[in-house]
Amino acid sequence: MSGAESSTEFEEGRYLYCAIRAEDAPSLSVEGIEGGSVTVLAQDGIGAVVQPVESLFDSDDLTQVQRWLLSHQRVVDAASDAFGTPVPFRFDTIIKGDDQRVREWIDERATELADALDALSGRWEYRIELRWDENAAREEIVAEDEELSDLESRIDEASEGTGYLLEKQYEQHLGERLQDQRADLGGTLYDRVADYADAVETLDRQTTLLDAEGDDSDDETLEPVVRLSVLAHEDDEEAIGDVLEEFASQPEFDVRFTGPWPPYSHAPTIGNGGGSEG
Amino acid sequence: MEPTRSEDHAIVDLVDVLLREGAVLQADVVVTVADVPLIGINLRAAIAGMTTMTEYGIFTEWDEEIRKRPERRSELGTRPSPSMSDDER
Repeated sequence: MSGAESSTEFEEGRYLYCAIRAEDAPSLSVEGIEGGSVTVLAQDGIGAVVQPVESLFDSDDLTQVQRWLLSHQRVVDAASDAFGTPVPFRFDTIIKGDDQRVREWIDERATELADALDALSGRWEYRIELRWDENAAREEIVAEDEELSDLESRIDEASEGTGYLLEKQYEQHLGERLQDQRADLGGTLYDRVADYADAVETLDRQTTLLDAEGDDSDDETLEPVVRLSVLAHEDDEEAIGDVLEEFASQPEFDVRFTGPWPPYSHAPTIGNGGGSEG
Repeated sequence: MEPTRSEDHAIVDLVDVLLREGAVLQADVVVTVADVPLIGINLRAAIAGMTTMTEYGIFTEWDEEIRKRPERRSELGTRPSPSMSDDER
C-alpha cells in the first residue's frame, strides 16, 4: 500500500460483497475471501453481505488475486441463491467502520438501495460474444466487391510507386467494408436481443484477457464481431437463447453466451451526490 | 441455446466484469480500489494469467460448485467454415 491516499486507509472495515432483500438478519453459509466470515447485516429490509477486514485486498501475487476474485464471486453466488438478484459491488469495495456503521450506511442509502434492488429483481447479466471467421469474410468481400477487383487490376498494371498507393487504398476500402459488415451484424444482433432485454450495452470487442495475451490461441481464426452485456429477466433467457441459436446455427458464426451473472455491469452508483469526494 | 458459466470464456467474462463493473459507492465511509492504479496494474496482470489457472487446479473447487448448480450446457459446436455459402449478400 505504498503511497496510498488517506481515503484508502482504515483500521476497521467491512468488505461489501452485495446488497440484498432481507428482513431479519439471515445467515449465509459461505466462506469469504481468505476464509473470512461472511455475515448479513440487515436494516430497513435491506441486507448488506459483508466480511470484516483490516486492509484492502491487494497483492503482487497473481495467483492470490485470482483466488480472491473467485472467492468474491462465490459469496455473491451464495447470496444470489439465497436472496435473489443482489446489487453486486465492485471487487474491493469496503465500508470504513464496524457493523453498526454499515447499518447506518444502509439506513442513509435505503431508498437508493431499495430502488436498485427493485429494478434488478429477477434480472441477471448475460454476456454474448458473436465471432466469425474474419478471413473467410474478407475473402468473400474480395470476391464480390467491384471496387476492390477494379483496384486489383489497376495494381497489377501500375508502377511500383502508384501500386503502393493503390494497395493502401485497397486495404483501406477492404477494412471499411469489413467494418460495415461487423456493424451490420452487430446491429442486427443487438436489436434482436434488445427485444427481450431491459438493457443492452456494447462492450469492447476484445476481452481484457485477449488484450493482455495478444492472441486467442484456442480458436485459430475466429475474431469477435460484437460483444454485448445484457440485462434481462430470467424469464426471457430462453428467448434470447433462441435468437442466439439462429446465429450459432450458421456455419460462419460462433456464439458465446455466458451467465446468468449478478448484474455487475448494470448496477448503479450508490450515494451519488452524497459523497464529498471529487 | 443456453448460457453457460462453466467454460473458460465464462471465467474470463467473470473476471473481466468483476474488476471493471459492479455498483460503485460514493461516500466518505467507503474505500474502493477499483480506480487506484496500484491494484489496477496487478489485476490486469492477473487476468493475463487466467488461462493457466485451470491447469494449476485453482478452479477445481470453483468448478465443482459450478457443476452443482442447475445444469446449463452450451449447445454450441458450430464452427466457421473456410468458405461461406451464404448467398444473402
